[in-house]
Amino acid sequence: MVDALREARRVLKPREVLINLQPITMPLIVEVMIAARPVWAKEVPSYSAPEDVAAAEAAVQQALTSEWFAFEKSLPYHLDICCDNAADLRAYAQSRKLSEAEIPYEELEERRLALSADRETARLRCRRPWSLSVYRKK
Amino acid sequence: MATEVDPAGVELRALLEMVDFRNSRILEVGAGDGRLTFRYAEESHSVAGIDTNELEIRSAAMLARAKPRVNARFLCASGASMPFPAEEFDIVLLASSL
Repeated sequence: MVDALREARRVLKPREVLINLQPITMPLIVEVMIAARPVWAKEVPSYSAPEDVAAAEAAVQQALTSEWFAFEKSLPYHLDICCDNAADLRAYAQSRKLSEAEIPYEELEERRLALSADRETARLRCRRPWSLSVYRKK
Repeated sequence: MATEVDPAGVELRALLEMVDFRNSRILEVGAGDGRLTFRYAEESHSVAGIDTNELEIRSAAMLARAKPRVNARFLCASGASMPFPAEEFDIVLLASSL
């Protein structure tokens, strides 16, 4: 991780910008959606790979104390993943770093089917907290 | 509709709000299949995307060929050893790659 920051510093022009997008160790929210509106939601209490996030934060801290970069600003946001069903969400999660998250796929699919029954077809949304941080090369 | 990532474009809006991409030479580390890259690429001068996932980066390269207005190239490479000369880029974007 520190190697990537060292390399980023090398390839950046003087005084230019490093942007770091990374997930935050906070609960995910999984929702059943009908016509783009949430009709049921559940907080997934833990993102069970906090060590990845902690290691990334430690690497950034080292880059700052080594004065490779100066922190400028950051912005939290939710990255939404919308799927037709729980199988699609599971496939997406397994292909990304969500693979360790404790998403209740069976419960989600049951809710989705139940809520789809007499209305429009329900879909699923997973809202994952991320942060965007901006640093400037020193 | 299958799977959509950030259908409302929240991530792109956050990026464009925080950093001026216009006429910038950008390196995206962890570009994957170019999902995010192609969203901001038209704003920039050029984009180089790298990722260690060869399948995804190949898919991004194919998509880039179909987008003549986008000046983007994709390489299979690691963030720990970037195949570029020093001081080449105006912006380096680490996309969940730490």
